[in-house]
Amino acid sequence: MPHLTDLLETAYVIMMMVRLLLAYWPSVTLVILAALAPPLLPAQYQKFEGQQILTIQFDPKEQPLDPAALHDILPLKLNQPLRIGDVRSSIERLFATGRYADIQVDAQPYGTGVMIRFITRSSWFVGSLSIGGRVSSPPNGGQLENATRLDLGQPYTETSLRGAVSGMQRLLEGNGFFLSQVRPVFDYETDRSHQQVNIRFDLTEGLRARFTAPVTIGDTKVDANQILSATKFRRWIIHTWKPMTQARVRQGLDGVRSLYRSENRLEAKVSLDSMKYEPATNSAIPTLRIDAGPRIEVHTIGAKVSQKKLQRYIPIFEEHAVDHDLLVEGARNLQDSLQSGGYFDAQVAFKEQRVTNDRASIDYLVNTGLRHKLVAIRIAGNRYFQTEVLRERMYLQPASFLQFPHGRYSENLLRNDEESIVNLYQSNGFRDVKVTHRVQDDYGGKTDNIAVFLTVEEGPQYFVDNLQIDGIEKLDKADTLGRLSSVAGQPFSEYNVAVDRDAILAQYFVKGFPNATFQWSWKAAARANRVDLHFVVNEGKQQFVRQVLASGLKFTRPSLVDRNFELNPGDPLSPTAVTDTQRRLYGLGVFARVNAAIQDPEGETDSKYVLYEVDEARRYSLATGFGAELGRIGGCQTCFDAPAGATGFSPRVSVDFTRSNLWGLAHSISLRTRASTIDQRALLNYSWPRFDGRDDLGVSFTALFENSRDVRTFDFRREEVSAQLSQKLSKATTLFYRYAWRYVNINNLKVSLFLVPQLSQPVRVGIASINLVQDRRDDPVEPHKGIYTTVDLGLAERFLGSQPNFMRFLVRNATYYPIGRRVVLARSTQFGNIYSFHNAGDPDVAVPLPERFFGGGATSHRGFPEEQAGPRDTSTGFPLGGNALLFNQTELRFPLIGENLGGVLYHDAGNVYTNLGSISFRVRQHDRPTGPTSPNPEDFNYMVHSVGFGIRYRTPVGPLRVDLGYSINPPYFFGFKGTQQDLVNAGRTPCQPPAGVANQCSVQNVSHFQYFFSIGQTF
Amino acid sequence: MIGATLWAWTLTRADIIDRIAVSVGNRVITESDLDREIRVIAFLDRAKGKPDFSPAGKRAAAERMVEQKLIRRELETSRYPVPAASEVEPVIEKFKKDSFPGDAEYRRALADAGITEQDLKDELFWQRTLLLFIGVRFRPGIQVTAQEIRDYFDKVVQPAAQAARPGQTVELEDYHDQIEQKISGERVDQAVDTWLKEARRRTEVVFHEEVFQ
Repeated sequence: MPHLTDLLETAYVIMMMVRLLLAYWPSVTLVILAALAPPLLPAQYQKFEGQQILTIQFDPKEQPLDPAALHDILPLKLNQPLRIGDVRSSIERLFATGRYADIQVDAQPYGTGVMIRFITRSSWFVGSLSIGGRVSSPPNGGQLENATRLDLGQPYTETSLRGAVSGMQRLLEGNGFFLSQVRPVFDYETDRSHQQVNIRFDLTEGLRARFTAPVTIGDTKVDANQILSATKFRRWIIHTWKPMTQARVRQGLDGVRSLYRSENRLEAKVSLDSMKYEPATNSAIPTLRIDAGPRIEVHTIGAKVSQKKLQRYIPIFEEHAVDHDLLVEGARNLQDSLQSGGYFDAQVAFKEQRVTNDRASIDYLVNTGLRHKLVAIRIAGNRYFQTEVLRERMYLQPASFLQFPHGRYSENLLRNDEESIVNLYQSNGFRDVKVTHRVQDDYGGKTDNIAVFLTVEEGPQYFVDNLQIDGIEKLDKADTLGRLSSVAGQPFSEYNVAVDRDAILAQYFVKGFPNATFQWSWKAAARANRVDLHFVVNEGKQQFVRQVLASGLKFTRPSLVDRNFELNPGDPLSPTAVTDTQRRLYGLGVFARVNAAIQDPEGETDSKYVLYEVDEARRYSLATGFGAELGRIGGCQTCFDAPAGATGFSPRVSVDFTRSNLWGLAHSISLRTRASTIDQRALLNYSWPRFDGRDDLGVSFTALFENSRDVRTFDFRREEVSAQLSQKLSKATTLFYRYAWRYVNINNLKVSLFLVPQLSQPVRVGIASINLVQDRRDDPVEPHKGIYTTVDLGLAERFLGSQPNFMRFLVRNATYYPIGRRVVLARSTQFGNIYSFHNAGDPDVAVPLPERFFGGGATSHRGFPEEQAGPRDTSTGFPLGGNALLFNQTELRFPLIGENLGGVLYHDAGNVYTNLGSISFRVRQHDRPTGPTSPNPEDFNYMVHSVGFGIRYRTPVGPLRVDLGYSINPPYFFGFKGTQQDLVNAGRTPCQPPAGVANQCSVQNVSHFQYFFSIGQTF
Repeated sequence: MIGATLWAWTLTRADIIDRIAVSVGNRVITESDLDREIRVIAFLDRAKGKPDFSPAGKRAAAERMVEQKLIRRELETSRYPVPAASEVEPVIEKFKKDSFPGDAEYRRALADAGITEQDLKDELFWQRTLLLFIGVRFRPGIQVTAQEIRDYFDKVVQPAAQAARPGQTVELEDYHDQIEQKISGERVDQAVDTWLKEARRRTEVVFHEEVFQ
């Protein structure tokens, strides 16, 4: 138990402590307050102002910028006096890099100087976006991602996230998901330096609301039921409400607008005022704001113009508004339309009447004038450019049969043509050029024929006397100069300067100078018509690649993507290389979408991250197709009638299945099947693009099964495997190295019986071939100029696993020559030979039937039905194919009506021949059979000629083609009208049968008239 | 002893000497910028008293500076002309002559305000830049029709003038230029205001609240 004195002592000590504390409290409080309160900045920085900076630290130590970059950026330097201005600049510079969200700088005494510490918080950038949860389309994933308005590589901020969520919410509500919820889930890539955050938006969409009857506000002037019906919000007959989607809302509004338009209420305003959600019934109640406006009728006075044309030319119908500008535009359009129809003097004005009794009318007063025909365009005064060069740039066209029966002329077109000519001259240095025109009526003494006379006053041509370029420091100036048009001695024009500016800036962009600028000026030189040019380039700062990153890979191997990057860390940041890489990634064929971006392009750093966000395409695809063939492909399958083919129809179905991106390496395997009444085939293909990592190489392996009777002489079943290596030598030239092994079985031969044992043998062919394709056409679908050549050389030999030995050579060359702007002369020549060797017996017969050349038809010779050219069986008349071929086709392709309908005049010549030695240009068939006593065998080794006319209708997939041909000298031959048994009974020479057997041979011929339907030009 | 320890702690602790107050896109206004702005504005308008470092005062200054940043960015990106730096000198001289008896007093006042003469020049230069920017960017697009001048005269000027001097006739010609200037001035203000709102909407502006407490 403690003593009292002890207690008192203790109490005294405590009291003293309390007293001391109390005594010091005010000063302690002041100190604490002073320490804790945020005092005014000057007091803080003035304390350190001028002190020597002994150390600079960063918190956290790991910074988004490299230490070297930090050192370069910061104005604050070690062992320098501290200045608040430098601190401020340091913060500004660091923040301007875009890599920081917050920066504070503190200072504290450190030895004899001061320690500076940057306390930083890094910013984040948008990485890949994805949608989680079940999404009922619409909206689809792409629409939802677009609604976020978050772009790859852009700074991620709270504001942008709020915008993204509300954007998605709006889209979902617009599609009837009023109870949907959007929850962002973040994946901060904290272990990597590029500060990227990937965001997944988890959706809970709830039930889609259904429409109910719309509420209308405003002056509707129409019955509510009519409006409801126009919206189509309710199903027909069963009268249930449709689920709400944005598209249906839009269609509903368009439907109501159409309703008003059908009542001539052209000014009707229809808009969605609001969409109210009724949770109890899960329904959406649209409120439509409608202002019907008066009925407006549009009439023409002075000429009859159909309502359809009025709606096409007068924009008030499309704009749902009537104002002076639109009416003027309508008058101008009508006038142009009339002028293009030959009413070159047509005048159109309009008169608008005020609204009375809910009606108004607009009258277009049309004075067509006389109908003219533009028969001549004459250009004079042009010395620098030939008249043809000027005419190529003109819209005016003299009258021509079918296409422009009255010519093409209007005042606007004439004005445009004058401007085109002026621009052409000015861009070639004729700064003072003038073009004037004169229109002469009753030209050539013929009433209403007009001619346009254009006079060109060229004036002097200006040339560059001297070009001075300043500011090119980091590019090769000589190389740049070599690319310019406006160099000394060349014509001076603003157009050329613009071309030069683009060339210079493009060079800079490629080298990573995105902020390069170009200015120019000129002054008159000492010599007349000469100018001195001055180009000034401001290069700006060069930017480099810090790293290239790809995101979104699920199945694709990163190494495959990396191999396709055209940019590496440290390279100049070239936008061209960025898009080239994007194109290469698309070219792999495994990505449905490749987004490319530079992370934070506004950030002021010298090195940037280049980002690629990919969306992998579906790996499995199934395609089905239906079609039909119509042509001379018909005839009895088992009998001998119609050896030259009868009109037939063959429906066709195809099913293709593809599995792409095998092993994540962009390999693919596909099975393509096709079945028709004349052909069934299945093709299994394994494709390995960019073989061995090389862009120019590709490998494929193929297995084929085919059962066909497309050559009418026989049916065959082919089983084939092949391997192919393709090598792209240049943009235009590709080589294919191929080995194929096939086993072909022949059935239902329709030939002389003595040939059956030889020709019906199953045959095994192993053939190695090399194929060169050179395509220098301007447009592969519809070429206007250029050359297309293919050369194919193959060798079938025992060591390649082949039973027959032969060499096969086939070359095709086509050229295209433009004549004027829209006429093309095209020609194609095809030559081939099969040389049989090391075979017993007749070398011409030694080549198996399916390996021979068959020809004729839509793409080789339109004097024959498909595969009907060349030698024929002397008994049955069916084609036997040949070992040589020569075809030549010539076409004149020209426009017919409008832009899409064209015509073709053609001449095809050639044939399939027995062998190389029998190729002949002879036009008459020797020993042409005329009756039973005619010589046999017949002659087929002559040149068949065919002429014809075709129509082409341009479509996105190539022109639709109809050709009607007349064969001048088709082959005549003996056909056999009997059955297989009759042929057996007729013996070895069916056309000279044994006594007692009826002669069933008859002279037949390939029809003089042939027709073809297909897609694509002939060659 | 505790007090001494605390004093020693306050002397050796790390003090924040500057930090971001507002970020405007990839540009920043630091706390020291804000401090300087408040001091310079107070110095130029000394009649209104001492600088206002209250949270509301700071925010008002920050809002002004955000607008400055937006305009500066537009000046840089669109390469608008800026006045010559020398144009400020006569303005400074006039300010000194009007506000201080002598150079010594002027220098002392600058020191008392915690700013430098360069700070003052920068502010005055900015004011001239702003005027030029408005003149080049917005004024050419403003049209005032004769009818609008007439309407303003009829509705505003004439009643006011007649109320001030009953019985005297008031002619439009006497006020034409003033009315035109007034209307166009109002429209320029509106245009600037609209442009600033739009520029701000397009720019990420973040206030760091700790600076404004």
